[in-house]
Amino acid sequence: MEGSTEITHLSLRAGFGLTMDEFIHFRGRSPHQLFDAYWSEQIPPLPDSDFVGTLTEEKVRKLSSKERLELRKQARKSTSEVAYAWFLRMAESPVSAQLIEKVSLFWHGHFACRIENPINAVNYLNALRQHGLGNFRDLVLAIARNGAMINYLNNQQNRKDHPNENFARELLELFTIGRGHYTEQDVREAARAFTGWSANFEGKFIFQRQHHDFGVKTFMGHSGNWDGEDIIDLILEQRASARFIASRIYHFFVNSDVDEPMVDQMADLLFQSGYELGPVFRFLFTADHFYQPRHLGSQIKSPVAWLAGLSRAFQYRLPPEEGLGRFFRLTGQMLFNPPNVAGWPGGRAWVDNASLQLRVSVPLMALDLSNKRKEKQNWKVDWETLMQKLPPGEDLSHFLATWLLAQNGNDRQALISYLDQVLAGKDQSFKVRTVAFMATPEYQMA
Amino acid sequence: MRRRQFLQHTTFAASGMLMPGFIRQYVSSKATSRQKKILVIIQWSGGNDGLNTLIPVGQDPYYQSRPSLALHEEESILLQKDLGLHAALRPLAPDILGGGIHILNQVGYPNPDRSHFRSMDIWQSGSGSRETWSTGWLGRYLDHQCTSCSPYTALETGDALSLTLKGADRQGFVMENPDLLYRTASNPFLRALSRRKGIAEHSDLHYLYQVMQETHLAADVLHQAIESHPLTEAFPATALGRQLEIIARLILSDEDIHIFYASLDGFDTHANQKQAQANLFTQYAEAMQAFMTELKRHQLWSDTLVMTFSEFGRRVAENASRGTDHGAANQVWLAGGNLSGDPLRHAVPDLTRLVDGDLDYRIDFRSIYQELLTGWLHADSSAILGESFMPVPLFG
Repeated sequence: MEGSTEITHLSLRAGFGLTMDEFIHFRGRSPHQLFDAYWSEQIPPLPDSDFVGTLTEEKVRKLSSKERLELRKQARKSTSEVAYAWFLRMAESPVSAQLIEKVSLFWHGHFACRIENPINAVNYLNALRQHGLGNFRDLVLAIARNGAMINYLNNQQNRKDHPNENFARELLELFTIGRGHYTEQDVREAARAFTGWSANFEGKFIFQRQHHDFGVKTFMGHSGNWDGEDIIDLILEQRASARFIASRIYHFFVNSDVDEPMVDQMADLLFQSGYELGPVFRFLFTADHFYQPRHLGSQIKSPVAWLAGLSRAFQYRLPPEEGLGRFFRLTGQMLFNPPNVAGWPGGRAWVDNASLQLRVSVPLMALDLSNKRKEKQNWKVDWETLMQKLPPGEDLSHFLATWLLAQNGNDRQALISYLDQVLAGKDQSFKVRTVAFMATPEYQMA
Repeated sequence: MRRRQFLQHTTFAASGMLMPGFIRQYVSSKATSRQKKILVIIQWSGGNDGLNTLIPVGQDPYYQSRPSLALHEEESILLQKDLGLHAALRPLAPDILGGGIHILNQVGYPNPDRSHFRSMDIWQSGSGSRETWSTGWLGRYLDHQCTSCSPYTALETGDALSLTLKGADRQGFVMENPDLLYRTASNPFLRALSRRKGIAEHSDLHYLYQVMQETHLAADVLHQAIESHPLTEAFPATALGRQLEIIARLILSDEDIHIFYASLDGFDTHANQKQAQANLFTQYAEAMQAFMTELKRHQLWSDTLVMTFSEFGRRVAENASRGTDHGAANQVWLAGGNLSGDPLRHAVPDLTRLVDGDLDYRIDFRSIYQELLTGWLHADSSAILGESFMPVPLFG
């Protein structure tokens, strides 16, 4: 495999692709060097939402139902601004902050949570960012104590007298160990241990002693006066949990067809290090296995990754008023709004006739040949600046194909020849060629 | 013009070299008479208030719980001594009394969820409330029954495909209307691009090329079908009227499409419910009336079944804003020329036994899916729903 193909492959999986400058800088280097550039100890948190302002629980309680409806509307709008800020980080942050954005997107699907409150959204996202490459136990605990998740899975209603099993069930089934490794009795006992875990008006964790069940619980064969933190520890003592997390990581970052020996190695690393995530990601992205040809361009990009990559490549900021929210609704991935607690199924489920049609048509908006007459505001991509970045003497098609697509040489050559045929006798400019590559089904793949 | 005849006239079909195998197979398969029953699903999004749809006349708890919202005699039509129909649904009353529309009340599922998203998920996937499934019940029907169906066997009118029509291997087709579809799918560059060959079969990339080609094919066929099938009946120019008009035209023009999905939004009536619900019912009744009349005129009504549902009903007690909040069990409406039995046998709600202030469910919604799958579509219901439910016989 050519070095530049490995670079592009890594950039599409561990990040959101590269800008032209970044690609030109890294294409002659080894993927390990790009991974080192991705690796950063500095993770800028998102700014806090000032949504609460002078609101108090007392004031909210006194609102009329109409005012309350209005407040909810504002909260949703403000939440979508947090989503937009996050999207911009994916599209615009430097190489050193790309991995954490991609990893956060992965954890958002893993700890799937619907959020309509901007304060909860910021706290939730910061938990994913702070621990996403840190320790998995810290991450699970932060999520279990997160106002967004407590709301979403009704843990504020989980009280000694009326346990609500929603959070406990998903913790076991989706977040940590997966089906087949626990009993219904374990779910019930875990729910008891999380009684009284609630959140206050500002979304901060509170422990309500009066609602907590201090009795003895028997969980996975261990009896004691367990609370939620103990339950998490007992779950993580099972190697099956490391196995489950490793396979979810593999599924998202490498291939939906999971390679058992590779996942076993990742699980060992996770388990032996006490659930440190960083070494697992480093191992994965530097292993020869990751660069096997069968993984190249084998995944359908999620809509968010696709559009972040597109605007990153164009170096064009999509203003929210150009219907960014609508794009995500129509293509089937709204941040803070997964279809259910199982997250986005991914793969072919991303695609139906309408979403694919939209995805292949969007790049045309950066040209004047969009056939939607109503689409007045074409994207104002700065083509002059982009074109000047092209190194002199470079073969344009080869450059675009290696920058934008992770493909082996034969597939690349076949696509280039086909596009030559399709574009024969037409405008061959830099911008038309670039858009042509971005409108291919191949560009939908990572 | 039938789809296959049309294809023979297009350059796309004429240049057989360019036609991929999977499309050639739809085109060359022999036309047959209408074998597949037509199923139309209409989704009332937001949670319709069933108690103000069919009014439990004479049940005291109804009037006590709804001092401002309870419908009185002049606001409803008496269907039988204990049951009134919302006056805006008047155009449908003769069909109800004549057995062409059946209303099943207190349809739901155990441990009801009062979140719109979650409950809609449950109804669309056909799962229980403690499971999350990522495929829809009619998507799984496509997976099981449709090894060589056309790509638009199941068609939704809208801008995004509902979970209902998403299978593991096959998906329904979605479009707002055939004109818009045709315009967006006629970009010559994308058309040329999609004809690329030599992509490894069974790969996800191959799947994308296939979906693109199918979209272009469908755009041509559906656009042509609509053009060549003017309707006799005038459909109302409303959101639902337009959807049912498209569906009627496609039923008349192309026998391959036999599952349709439409939706009408606005039923989340937390405040000032009366007017909002009346407007929606007027829209529903007028659109349904036009649809039924058109299909009856073409002798297709006995091959057609329309199911209307909502993700949940609303609380028995009204709230402080002259509205109602999210409830649980609700009504399912079935309309068709082939229904048997008393249309109101499951229609009277029982307000004496509430659960958390809501109607309890008497019929699991999956019992109805099961009956539609086996009795109407002749499919293997247990494979699609994963288990068997108490039968609810609907057909003669």
